[in-house]
Amino acid sequence: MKRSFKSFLAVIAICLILMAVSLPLTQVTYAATSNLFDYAGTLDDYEAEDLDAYLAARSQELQFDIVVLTISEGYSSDDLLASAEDFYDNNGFGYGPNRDGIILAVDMTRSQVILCTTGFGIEAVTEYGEEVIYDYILDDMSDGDFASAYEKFEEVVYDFVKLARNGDPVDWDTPGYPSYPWYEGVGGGTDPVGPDGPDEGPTAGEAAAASGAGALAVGAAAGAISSGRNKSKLKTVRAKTQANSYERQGSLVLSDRRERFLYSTVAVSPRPNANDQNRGHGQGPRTSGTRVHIGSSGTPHGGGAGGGRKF
Amino acid sequence: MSELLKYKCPNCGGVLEFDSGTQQMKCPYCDSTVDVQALSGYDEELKNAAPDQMNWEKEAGNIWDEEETKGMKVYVCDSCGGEIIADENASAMKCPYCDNPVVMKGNLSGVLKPDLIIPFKIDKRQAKELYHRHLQGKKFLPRVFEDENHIDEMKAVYVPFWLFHCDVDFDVRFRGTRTRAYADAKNNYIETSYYAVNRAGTLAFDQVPVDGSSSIADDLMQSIEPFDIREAKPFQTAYLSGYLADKYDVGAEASVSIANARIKSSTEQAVASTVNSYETISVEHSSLRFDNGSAMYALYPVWILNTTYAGERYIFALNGQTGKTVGDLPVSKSAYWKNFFLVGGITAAAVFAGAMAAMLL
Repeated sequence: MKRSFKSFLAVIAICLILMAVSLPLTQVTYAATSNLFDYAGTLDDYEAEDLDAYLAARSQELQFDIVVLTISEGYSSDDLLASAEDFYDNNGFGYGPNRDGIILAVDMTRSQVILCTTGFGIEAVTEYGEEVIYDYILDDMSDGDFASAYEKFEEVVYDFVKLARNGDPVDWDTPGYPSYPWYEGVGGGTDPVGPDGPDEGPTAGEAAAASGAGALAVGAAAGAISSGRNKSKLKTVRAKTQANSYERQGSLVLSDRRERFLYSTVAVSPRPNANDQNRGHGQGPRTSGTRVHIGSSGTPHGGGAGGGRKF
Repeated sequence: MSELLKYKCPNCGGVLEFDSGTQQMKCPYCDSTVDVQALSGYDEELKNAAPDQMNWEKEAGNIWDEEETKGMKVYVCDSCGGEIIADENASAMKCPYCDNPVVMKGNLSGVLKPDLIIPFKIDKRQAKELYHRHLQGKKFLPRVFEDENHIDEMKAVYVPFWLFHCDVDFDVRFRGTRTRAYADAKNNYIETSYYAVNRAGTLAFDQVPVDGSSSIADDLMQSIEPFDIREAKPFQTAYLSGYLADKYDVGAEASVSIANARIKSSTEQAVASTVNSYETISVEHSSLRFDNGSAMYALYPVWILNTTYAGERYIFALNGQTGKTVGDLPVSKSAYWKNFFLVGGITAAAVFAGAMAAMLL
């Protein structure tokens, strides 16, 4: 899989070189400042153009690259993280000697999203910060509103970088964060109350309508099951792929039976504890800061906490 | 010239590296840990994996005596191409497979004589009863279909089958897994261990049938199996009196692929039943060699009924020995939707009433 991704990167690199050689100067400049790579086609042309310009402007302002990459490869979370790191490194993203920035990688095939940070991004977006970002964007992604999700991602990263530069990076001990108007509180105990005040619950009419809709859905399912069962009784012709009826009874004789251990793999998942549950954000371990790992190009990266998220 | 020895990871195919810490081979791509000795043995096995040798030695069928074919004629259907053997007195016959008229082609010649025949045990009255029983309890069967069927045109046909016998010498390698779960203060771990499980031995198959007629669907004939071969008789033309016989047009050689596939699949399944104590097993490689592989040519008794409904042709087959009846039936769309709305409506009303009662309480 890594090899195929390297081939993929090589193709992209060749394409970028060819574009640089063949396109007019204005377009070369645009390509060099592009921060959106929507290979999976999650945005329409207008949304992509707006977002790309927005990401590029914010990155320029912050001197901190904010990149969005979408693919449809069906990678595991580890491979998605590795591919995001390679993409970031090989395409020369990042400001300053430490290549400050962050990339949000989305794999549409497995509905998976992961963050990868570099340079100052490792300090600015802690593992807790990653959980906050996921909480903000996953609902929109589940609803298919990717433009909104990417804008929220950009907005939160912008704030995180500003706060971190003031010496106060968002982490587990940051009180009362977050406080965006569109934040509805994904399980957190410190969420702001929305502008509409406390929830008074559905009215009797709404409850009856909901019950009616639910009853219709159950009825439709029951009707489909009953009709399907009766319909299946009309089909009696089925090909046989076995010859079990023709095995000579008692003829199975084993002359050799060997069993040999080959290899083992270990899947690791963080263990939730009571403190994590009280914090509300995500399922990751409650670790301050960010664990750093080295990408295949030798560049240190953060991110990938909890193996990313599904949406 | 020195040669660099490379081992592939049995999990992902990546090139393994030796890990001096654990003294084992480690895959840098999927993190699998592989035992050096096991790897070497496994690698040897992969190199020595033999292909299937599913060879059939003895050919089926005999040669007709001139006396036996006297009075036997071949009739051909211009519509489906089916060739029927019947006596020369058969009159105004219709093709049992497509219900179109057949015409006499000539004397029976150039085909093999069957080795065996299973005589009909189910007569026409019983066949009609069984057919009616087949239609019973089918709520979605269009009523007009029952009324319009041409049940009296049910035809008794001896269908040609090739019967394959062999002793199988097998080597099967499975991939088995066992898992172990454990935890420390920070993480949960699931360790999956993979094993190569080998079995070798022998297994015998008798009279695996493959129909030798291209006019009738293989799956239809497979659906009326099994026939009881113990009641088979050495072939005599007398058994054909009053019946039609389909002339085979798919030879034994062309039929072996179907028999081979069924034998291979059943061998793997039978051997898998000897592998215990694994959570999952899957066949990684199997090698079958046939000893004493031989084929026989037999005629099996089948009642065939053709009918047409709403422009579609429906064909039913009834095992003339056991009475097993098969044939896909059409679906009445009105009955389907009537049932859907009736069951769905009653269920929805009951669920809604229950929800309302719960709210009021």
